[in-house]
Amino acid sequence: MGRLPLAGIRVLSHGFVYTGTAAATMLGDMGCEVIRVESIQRFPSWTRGSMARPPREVARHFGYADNEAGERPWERFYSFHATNRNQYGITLDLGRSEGVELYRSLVRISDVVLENFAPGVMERLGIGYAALEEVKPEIVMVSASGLGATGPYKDYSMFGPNVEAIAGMMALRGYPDDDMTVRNPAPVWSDNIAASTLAFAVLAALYYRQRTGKGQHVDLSQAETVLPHMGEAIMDYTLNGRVARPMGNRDPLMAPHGCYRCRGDDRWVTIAVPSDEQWRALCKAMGSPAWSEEERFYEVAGRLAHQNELDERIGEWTIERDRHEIMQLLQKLGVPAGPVLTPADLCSDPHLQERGFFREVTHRETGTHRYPGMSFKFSRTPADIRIPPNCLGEHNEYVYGGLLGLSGEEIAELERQQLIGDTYLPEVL
Amino acid sequence: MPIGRRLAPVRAWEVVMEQALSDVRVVDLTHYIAGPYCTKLLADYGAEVVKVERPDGGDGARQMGPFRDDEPHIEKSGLFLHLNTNKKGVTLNLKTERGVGIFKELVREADILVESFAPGAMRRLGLDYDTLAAINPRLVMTSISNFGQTGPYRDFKATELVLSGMGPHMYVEGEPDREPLKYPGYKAQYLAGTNAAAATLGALFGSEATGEGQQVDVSIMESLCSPPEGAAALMGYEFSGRDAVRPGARRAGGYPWGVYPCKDGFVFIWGMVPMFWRRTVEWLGMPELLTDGRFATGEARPYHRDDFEAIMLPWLAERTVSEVVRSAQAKRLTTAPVYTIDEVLEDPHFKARGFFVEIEHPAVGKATYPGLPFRLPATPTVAQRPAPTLGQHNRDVYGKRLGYSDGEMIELRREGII
Repeated sequence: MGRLPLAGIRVLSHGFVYTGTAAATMLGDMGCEVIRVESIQRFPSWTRGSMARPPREVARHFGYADNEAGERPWERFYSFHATNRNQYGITLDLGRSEGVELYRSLVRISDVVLENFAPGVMERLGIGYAALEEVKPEIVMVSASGLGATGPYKDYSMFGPNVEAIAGMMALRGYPDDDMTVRNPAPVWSDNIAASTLAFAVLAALYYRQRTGKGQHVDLSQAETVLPHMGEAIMDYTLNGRVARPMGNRDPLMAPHGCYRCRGDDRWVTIAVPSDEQWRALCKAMGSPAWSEEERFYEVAGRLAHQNELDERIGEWTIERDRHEIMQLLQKLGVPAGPVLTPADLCSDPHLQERGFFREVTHRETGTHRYPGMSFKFSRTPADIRIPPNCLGEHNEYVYGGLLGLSGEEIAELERQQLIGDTYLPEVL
Repeated sequence: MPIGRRLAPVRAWEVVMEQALSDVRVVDLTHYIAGPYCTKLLADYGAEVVKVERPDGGDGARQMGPFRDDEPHIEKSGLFLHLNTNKKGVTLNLKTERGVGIFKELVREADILVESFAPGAMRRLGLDYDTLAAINPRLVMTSISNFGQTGPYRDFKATELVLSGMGPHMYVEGEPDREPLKYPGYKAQYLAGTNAAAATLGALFGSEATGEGQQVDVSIMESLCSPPEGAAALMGYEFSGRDAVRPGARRAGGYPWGVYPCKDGFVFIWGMVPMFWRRTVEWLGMPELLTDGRFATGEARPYHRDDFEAIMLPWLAERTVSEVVRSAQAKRLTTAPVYTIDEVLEDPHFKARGFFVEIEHPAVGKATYPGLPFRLPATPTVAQRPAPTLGQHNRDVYGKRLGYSDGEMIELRREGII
């Protein structure tokens, strides 16, 4: 296996919840040496669970490995495992000057600092860009808050759904016939966009540094990463003054175009018909029923005008059939169709299996599991999960000893002072 | 080990203000959404992107709306205009031997090729990675497709709707008694394009360090299954053995949580966790709720959502969205306005940050576009260039860069190659 393309680039990550953690993971996947900075003084809510030590009855509903929170619940939380890998984990109390001093030594040997706290948090800790630039002028720092560090709402507290709401995306997440209060704010989409844009931003700034030697501080607003993904709706407004409304599963150019109930409990298939030729193929697949031969359905304009009727008829055909069978049948005829897959379906999906998407990983606390892999495959230097989701402070020795050159005794002293450690302090909620 | 400084050779064939990716050359053989968004990101940060289109009509996105004044026209698609800013555009017929030859000349000088044909199409054109790597060993070739370059679904046909269904998000989106809902617009394709841009730029670091490029295979389906949200859904199942359900807007559990009507619009409130209950009550100015038996404990509260909303909704109805958001945020209660597109464009925050940009295009004139997803302070934003008209830069690229004479270009045009 070749040397991964980003080998030799060191990133300090303060990734929190999803956006920062997933961006750091993507950089780690491509070979960066990512050091995830945590502390035993502060529990990162929603990153390693809802609480450090949740009551048993809470834990049962929350996706801990094997539905057991265990002695160290923070090592067993599903979304931490999903969004953190290929990162070394250290702890450090940044609330004390000794901690900040140690942090500065880490900055000196790093290329990138990545964080997605609210604006001002890093400054209050004494590790804002101005302070880091003093230590290392060419440092690249990327901060990814909900709305950015400038502007009238810079102090607003935001989670993913809030970002979607203010960016105009939530208003469009609905059925054409429902009203605004029927919006299901989860799962969140904006984190997906912000995370990969953040990874790209780090690389763009690094590329610039590689050419010029200059670092910089990038103020990324998650909402502004979402807006370009809504380009067509924005352009329809700026070009034509039209305010987009929810289209549900429909499309402005294709009909039929919907999600239809299949045989089984809450099982569904999607079917999209881009052309008249594919419409005829769909009719054939359905056994050419008399209604499908009607002239008003021959061309797309007519089909668009009679979508409700088409959807009802097609639904009568799909309800009798298995969603996978429908996919196979229609795909053979060149008609876009696919089952609506659940997480359980995807975990045993033959296509993902054959592509080796899932990676088997053994974790110190949770044992061996299959982990979702990457959205990209490198042909010459394949990426893999080299480092399992890190345990709290798991790599203190490697980082403080191996990279900073502290002796075993000095590291033991840091532990005694509780500047570092591997367990949340008892008073941490 | 920190990366060292590297002095870039000056090779821009047109003087432009220096940007982050100024010395990167990209050949862009993509169409519709995912691929063009990937190369838009590269172009918007300074890479020189040459978009290669079919002479007969070009990128299919040119046929997709919204069109200026709803007039279907290949130079007036708002979708295309948005996705292709800052690129150069040439036409080339790859179904001719001569066209393939010219394409190879472009690839020889490129750092990156991005393509989004159906898997196998590049091989049929004689432009597979191995062939191109023989011409240019440091080439990073990114291929973006629905399901990836291998596997049993490789040749399946898909649209945004079909792709959405085959990721873990759609099944849980929508109401429990209705059909699952796809996300609005082309979210899956945009996401894959963003992932592809990051992976491509990542691979470029490798090819510059070693002189060896590689192929990057990006699958839209796998983008949907990757960190953060997609992977979290799959990991939730892997850890618990419980499959997902579609809970709908009126999900059980804590509140306030969801979209609520105010006097002049809607607000989203993220306040379902026990920690936020006190903030909610203080924000409403109703301390008596803290001792009300229906709401006093985390155990009792979930059973009295309707009672709570009967109290909160009239309170919200008397206030504007902006009053509600401002007062809630002052109590650290995580709220946001639920904007429609017109409201987004008028919002003072996005305006103060200068997010939206004006770009002038020969066919549609001046219009407001979404700006860059982040700005790099070291390279202040230069004026954005509009998407190319079909074949706009043929002379520039074939003449100035590849050295074809006017006579040769006339001949190429006559033969339908450009």
